[in-house]
Amino acid sequence: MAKLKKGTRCSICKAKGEKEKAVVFLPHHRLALCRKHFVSWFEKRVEKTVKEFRMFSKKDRILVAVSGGKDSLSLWNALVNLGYQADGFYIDLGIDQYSQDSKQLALSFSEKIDRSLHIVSLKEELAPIPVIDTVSNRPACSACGTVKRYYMNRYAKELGYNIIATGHNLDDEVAVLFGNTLHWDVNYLKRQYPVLEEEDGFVRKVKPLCKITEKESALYAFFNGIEYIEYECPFSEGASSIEYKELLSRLEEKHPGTKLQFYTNFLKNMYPILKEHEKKEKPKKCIICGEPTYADICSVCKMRERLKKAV
Amino acid sequence: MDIEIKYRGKKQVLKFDKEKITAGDILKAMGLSPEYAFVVKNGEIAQEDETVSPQDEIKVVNAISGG
Ligand code: SF4
Ligand SMILES: [Zn+2]
Ligand SMILES: [Zn+2]
Repeated sequence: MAKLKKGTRCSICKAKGEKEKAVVFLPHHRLALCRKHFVSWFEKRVEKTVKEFRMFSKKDRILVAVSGGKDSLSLWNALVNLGYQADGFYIDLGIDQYSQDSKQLALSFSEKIDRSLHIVSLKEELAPIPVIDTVSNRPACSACGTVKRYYMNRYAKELGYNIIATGHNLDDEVAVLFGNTLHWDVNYLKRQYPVLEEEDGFVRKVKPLCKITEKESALYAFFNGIEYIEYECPFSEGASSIEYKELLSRLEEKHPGTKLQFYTNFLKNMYPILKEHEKKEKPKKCIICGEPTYADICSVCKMRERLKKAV
Repeated sequence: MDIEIKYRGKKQVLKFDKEKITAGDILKAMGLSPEYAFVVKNGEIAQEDETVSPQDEIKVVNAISGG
């Protein structure tokens, strides 16, 4: 993010004849904003994204996947402020101190905004991530992603929510897009859209922060006094996504707007082409738990079998 | 000059061999870019050219997360 010169005034305040000092500079939007106007800019941008991709309306019941991190809490805060019916869903992954701390932060936040937080314990449902990691031959994050998606989907239906919202931000999406493009992973690329429609047992999933950068999300949390988990999950170390993010931020520094363009032009120009060639495979029902899957047995039930064998 | 900062929930001391330190110097010393990180001085966002002193309460926020 390029520098804000001393004494720069907020672009919106200036237009209104007020004199508030800018505290945030958004070079890719050519905006310098004061605290108040940054917060309203952020919420408007989220609302615009929700409408642009027809994610949901005020009538929908939304379940926000809350991790205790800045993105999910900022998203939840913004959706509630915008008047949407959004409750939280937290999965206690059983990752030692990290899970305890993030759960506490998620709980305190839900009390602060006075919305329900549903909590599911992975230890009770299946096994904590560190145990799953010992029997799985995939990286911890990949197994973790699978179980989070599974329980999120299952509980959303059980609890009567028709939308699942996740806090993925622009930097997350751009890093994944970059990685998938680097590997020409077409099967992943054709699913990289901020809305995954509901179908045969899958609840509709949306990413309302897909045009918000990571820094914007951290700033929004800061300005709203949102306390979030500041340290990383112990399993996240060395994730390639962090490398991509740093690399892309160097590009962005020199050429503001690169990330947003890479992402939005993909959605506009490339995604429709990939979509056209998609052979639509219908999901089946897992013969054990009944959740949607493309195999006979879903990956969480397979994990459970493997856990049983391991003990 | 030594500056004590809070980063990712932990305290840490940065050593500088000059007397006038800015928020930008702190980011540089930590190898962070203002593209994704920022400095909070006494509860307010500090711009990169803003000076900081050992009396200030400094927090560094890195927005990048993995996983
Ligand atoms: S970093 Fe990996 S293991 Fe940790 S919570 Fe995120 S996805 Fe799960
Ligand atoms: Zn303003
Ligand atoms: Zn199953």
